[in-house]
Amino acid sequence: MAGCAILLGIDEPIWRPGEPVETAVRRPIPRIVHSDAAGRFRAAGLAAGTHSVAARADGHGLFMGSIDVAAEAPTPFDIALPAPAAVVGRVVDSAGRPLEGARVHTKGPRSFTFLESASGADGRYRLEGSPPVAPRCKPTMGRRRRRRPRSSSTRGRASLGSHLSRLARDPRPRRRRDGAPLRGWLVRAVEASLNGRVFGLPKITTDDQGRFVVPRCRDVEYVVEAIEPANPQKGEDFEEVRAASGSAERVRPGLAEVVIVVTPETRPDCYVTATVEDPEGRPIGNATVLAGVEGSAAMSQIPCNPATAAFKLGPLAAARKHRLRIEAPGFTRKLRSIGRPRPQYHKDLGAIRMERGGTLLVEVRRADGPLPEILNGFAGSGAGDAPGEGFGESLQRDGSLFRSKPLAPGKYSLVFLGGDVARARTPVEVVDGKETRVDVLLRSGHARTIAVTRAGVRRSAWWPCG
Amino acid sequence: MVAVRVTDDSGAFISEELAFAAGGSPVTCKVWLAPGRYRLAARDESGATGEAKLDVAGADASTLTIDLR
Repeated sequence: MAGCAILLGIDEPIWRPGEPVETAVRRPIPRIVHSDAAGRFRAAGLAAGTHSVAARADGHGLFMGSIDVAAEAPTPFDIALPAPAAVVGRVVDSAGRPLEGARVHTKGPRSFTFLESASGADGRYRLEGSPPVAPRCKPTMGRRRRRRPRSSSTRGRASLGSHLSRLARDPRPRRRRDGAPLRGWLVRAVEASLNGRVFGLPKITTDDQGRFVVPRCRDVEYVVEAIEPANPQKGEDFEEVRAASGSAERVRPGLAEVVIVVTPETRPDCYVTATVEDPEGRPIGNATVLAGVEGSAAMSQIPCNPATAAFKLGPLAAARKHRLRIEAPGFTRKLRSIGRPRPQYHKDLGAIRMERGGTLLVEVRRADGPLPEILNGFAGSGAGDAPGEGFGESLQRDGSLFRSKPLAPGKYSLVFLGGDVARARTPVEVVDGKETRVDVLLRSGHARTIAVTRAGVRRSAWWPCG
Repeated sequence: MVAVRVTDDSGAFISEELAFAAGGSPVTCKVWLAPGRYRLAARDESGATGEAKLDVAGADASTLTIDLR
């Protein structure tokens, strides 16, 4: 099966508070690979030993298992995805009344194995393609959040690189300069160049002194973020609290200690609500709403009420700009920016009207041979396609035909990447309400080898942590 | 790992290739291009960047080198 995503080392934590760094750095790093058109996949660079494996693909159930990787030869491992299943149920309050808008999700490492839904007006929910685990229920909509006492400044402390090893081994608690340590907060450390685009992120938690360790750092800039658990008792799923960001710092691994300051402005207590409608004003209950912090590619899915198409985003930190991406089958993608809200601000965006747009049907032929087995087509709307934003909208391939999702009317450039075909752009125009048919003739390209040297700069290397 | 971004002479995005070390330095990648003029920009994880121009006229076994600074 093509396009199946396989994650190895999914449940192995990077560091446990109090654990020697020497133990943590030897643990394998979670990695994600995708199967090719023949259903094959290859994960290189794994350490010999037992690794947990998870695999998922659209229209199939989740596979979870483990693999014993041999030291010398490649280890074959066949995965049979189970048939999709569904969990249905009802959410009620303590008086037995149906609770609308409750968020129901599976427990487990998010971002990969995670499934969620929202209960309807009668309290009923449905989780499609559920892994075989008991669902958790957490009513996050329409419920008052517990107010925390406000402090002018609270400090958590962190260090990266070799200095961390010393801190982690030092049993004496350090004297605090200001504020109280942030115990049990979640920490996210991502290389700044990745622009938040990460998978299988390790879970790191601060200890009683507010310290944490980020092992295996490289000598590049990182964005380190301290995140307040949404629920101190159940804040185990890192991804669950991504929207409830605390504060972030851009740092480079070194001897200096990193101090992350959390202020009332970065404490999340703002909400944004809206509904998703079609051009005729009817709610689109199956819309997918994604939200993230401006400037970061990482986005979290927000549950959308299947009956009213209403969603509620939050709690958000007032100090940051956020963005929304709304998608629905048969409609163009919609992007909205949300400026910095004031603390404790609740903003209703009203109805977000989706557009039907137009589609592209591209027949691709090759002048000098058959099409490559792996050939990916993209439709980009910008002349440059901003770095890190990818190539534009991906086209769905069916033999020599490539079809786009609904696109906003306008000019696009088609790019086909794969094999030895020449990289080139083909200009096309999408017309509202119509399917535009385009023929593209690919040719073999001339191969050029590009060698990149680092003259006069320090070479990148794996950070010798521990 | 180094990202090599290819644009045509007008600055329109053509492709982005990833270059990896193959048994040592320098890191290399291969890109297939139609005849024409191109601009290449490389960037590594530390933020070092480099640029080069490339004329593709026909089959050619030469290697283009980009220095990161």
